Amino acid sequence: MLRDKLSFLGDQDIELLLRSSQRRHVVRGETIVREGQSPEAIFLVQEGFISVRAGGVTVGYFGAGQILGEISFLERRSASATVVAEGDAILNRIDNADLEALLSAHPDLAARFYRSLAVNLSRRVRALSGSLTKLRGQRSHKARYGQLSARHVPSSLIDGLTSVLREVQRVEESLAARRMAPDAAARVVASSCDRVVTLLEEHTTEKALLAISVDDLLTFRDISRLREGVGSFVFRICFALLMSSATIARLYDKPGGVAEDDGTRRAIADADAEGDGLIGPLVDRWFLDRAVCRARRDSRKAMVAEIVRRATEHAGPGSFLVTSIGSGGGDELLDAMDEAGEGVLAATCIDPDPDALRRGNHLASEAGHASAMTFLCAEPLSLSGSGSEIFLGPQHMVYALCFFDYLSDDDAVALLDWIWGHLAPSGTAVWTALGPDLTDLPMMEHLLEWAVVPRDAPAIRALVSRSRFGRAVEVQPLEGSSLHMVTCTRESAP
Amino acid sequence: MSIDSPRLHPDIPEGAAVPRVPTWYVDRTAARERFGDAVDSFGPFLMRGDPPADELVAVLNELRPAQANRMLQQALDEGIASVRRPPRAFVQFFRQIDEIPLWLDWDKLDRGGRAVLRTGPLGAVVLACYSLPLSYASPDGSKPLTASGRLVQRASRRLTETARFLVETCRPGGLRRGAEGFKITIRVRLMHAQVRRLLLQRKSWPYERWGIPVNQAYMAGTNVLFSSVLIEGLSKLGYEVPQAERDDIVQLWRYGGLLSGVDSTICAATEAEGLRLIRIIHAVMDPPDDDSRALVKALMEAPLELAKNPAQKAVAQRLVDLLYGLSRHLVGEDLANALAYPRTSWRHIAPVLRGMNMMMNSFQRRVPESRDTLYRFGLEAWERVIENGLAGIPAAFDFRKATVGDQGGPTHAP
Repeated sequence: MLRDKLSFLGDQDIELLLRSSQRRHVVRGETIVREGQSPEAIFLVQEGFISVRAGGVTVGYFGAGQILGEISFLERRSASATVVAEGDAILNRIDNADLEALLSAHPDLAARFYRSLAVNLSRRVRALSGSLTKLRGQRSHKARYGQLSARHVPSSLIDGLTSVLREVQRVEESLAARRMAPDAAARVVASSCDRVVTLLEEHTTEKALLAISVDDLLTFRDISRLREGVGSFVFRICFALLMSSATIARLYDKPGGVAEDDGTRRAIADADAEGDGLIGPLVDRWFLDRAVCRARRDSRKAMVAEIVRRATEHAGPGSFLVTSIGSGGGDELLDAMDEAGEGVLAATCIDPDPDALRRGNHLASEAGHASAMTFLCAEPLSLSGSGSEIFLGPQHMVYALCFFDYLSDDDAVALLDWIWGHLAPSGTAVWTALGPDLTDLPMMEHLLEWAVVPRDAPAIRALVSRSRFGRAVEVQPLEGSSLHMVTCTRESAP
Repeated sequence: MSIDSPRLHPDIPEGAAVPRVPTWYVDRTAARERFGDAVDSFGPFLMRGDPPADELVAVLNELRPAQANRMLQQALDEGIASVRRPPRAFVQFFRQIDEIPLWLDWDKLDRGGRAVLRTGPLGAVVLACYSLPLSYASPDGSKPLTASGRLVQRASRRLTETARFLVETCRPGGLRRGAEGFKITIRVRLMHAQVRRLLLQRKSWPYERWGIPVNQAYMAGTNVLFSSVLIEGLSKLGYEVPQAERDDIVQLWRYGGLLSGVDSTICAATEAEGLRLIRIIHAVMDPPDDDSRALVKALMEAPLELAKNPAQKAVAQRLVDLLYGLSRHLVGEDLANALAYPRTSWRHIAPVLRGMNMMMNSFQRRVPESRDTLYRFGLEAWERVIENGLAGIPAAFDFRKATVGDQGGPTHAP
């Protein structure tokens, strides 16, 4: 197995290395290397799983055939993370001094050894650059010009937006002069912002866009380009107004690399209106009351209820094992633990955002649930790829809040397959999906650059049927919101 | 000039199940009794667009608008060789339109153009009261025009743009490389391709049922409206185009048709072929629907659009009644009723007009020199119509002249 990572070493090379090593058994929870200390050795994992932790968060796992401490060996630096055994494991420890002596004595082995390390590092760099490219792509804002010729912006749209801005200006002046009550101002601002969304919807219908295109066929603009053009026009005109809302500004800015990061999720969940000046909080209030924000809050409540229901119905020995995917620090898990009671749940949070996980770890400690929670920093989409071993026993439930709204069908199927492989028999994957009837979709796309993949019930069933869950899927609409709760069950083998 | 393309259209997915004919094109028994196998030959043209133009437009949609316009303008003005690193679709398209058919005789085309322009206001009346209603009567052909609702409006402008297209085509050398008629023809072809693209990108355009929008059958039918159908309409009003000039007119529009993207296998090469084509179209098509009636109504009542005060409105209303009357005479009672034409007493004007035109024929025969004077008068009349109709606002195909802030609604011609 060592060949996987030390791919250029031959049988004799491995034999030499192992002969210079000491075999060591470690037990679950035993610290092998402590962050900041010099390990003085490299480790070859023979059996079991070893986790790498930084700041209380698991940032990686090492399994059989993998090598640890090679960076410290190469750089002669102290360890950048703590290495802990996740369960009983067998390691081969080779002291740095012994390794150096061995490599000096066998130059051919040294060449193959260093080449293997170089290839490993090169793979890591490639993976990292892939993630960075993806991150850069997510964070960059789209160009907002050239899609629509200025003379073809319908006058009804220009007039409508102008009157909205005038109205908001009037409210701001009235508030400053204390001529208007805050409640009345909030109502006017909400109605003005609603008008912006309505204008956007009206002018991005297929018929409205076709009317614009036939006016100027020789500029060769597709309907999609015109749709973007109308959206960009509204965006430019309303930018200052919208960005005065703290939540909208955060969604648009994407400080965590994605629109709906941990901070945004919390802002929507807490629903405390914030913003700049006199108008900002009112715009924020309006936004936090919009259908998409309500749907997010509803989905969280529904998920807590679902976890608690399943956990309390769980009859088996031990705790109900639940894992969250791409759902940040797992705030809903803490709520569920509070509700379900001590020891009922054992949870794992898998998310790519280490800050969110650190926050979750901190909250779990404060709430007294730290021992029942594991935080694992990993890109959920890479779980289904090769080479990402994760130590996760069979789970009773794996859930994702809103994460599937960002996945293409292919990615969603790959993730479902991965989940299926980590569920106990009769275990369930539960996730939420925004529907295409969500009225806020044009606003999200054009004004917030918040792109989601909405799916209706038939689309969800079709997607799940492509995964290993097959037809074992239930799609329940959540009352009062454009949201579906999807439950996929890993059926027991017949 | 036809180029085989493996794909029906760039916006129809490769491998999509495409029927040979649209689903509405079945059981054309009555048509088959009259035209036999020609009905089967005609059907597949309803499922064919204009592949070279469709490919070019797909590429133009990928470019920045300013870049697309610059490249297109340069290729039209100076030839494709002058364009730096043109995309492949550009080269293929311009290579096709640069081909000069063996049969083409420029002198003949010039004579045909002069013969059309000599008809002056009478030609415009036939175009408005006969050619265009015949085209709009087809539900299949009228769908692309009514899809957005925009083209039903501003009918007078559309008519004027069509007149401009006709005049520039008919001017001496109008279809020669670089001439205005040639450029307008190409731009109109690309506008048709863009309409095809926009409609095929809509989920609400079921091409299996309706056929390809602005298809070959529609384009070929539109093409003969300016030649065989125009000659026939003039004849119905007593104006006889001399026999020799009839073929000149047909050859002018035959070449115009090929430049417009009409496939050579359906493009009418003789007056008789043109008339047969339009008869086949009318035999196979469904009766006019509400879209057809809306389009024709907008066309016939275009003078009311321009009237600004009650006095002008009264005059315009009389003119509208006259146009309805003449059109009923030209298209026949059955089609006029199907198009919901109002009955006006002006339909009796046709025999009077016919008598006057027959006198004019006899005068032209006796005094051949009068033809030059009539040509100048006819051209002047056409230009006056265009000048008043466009009112300083560039036509849809004059895209370089359009400026930011224009309020005029360029539309779609012919």
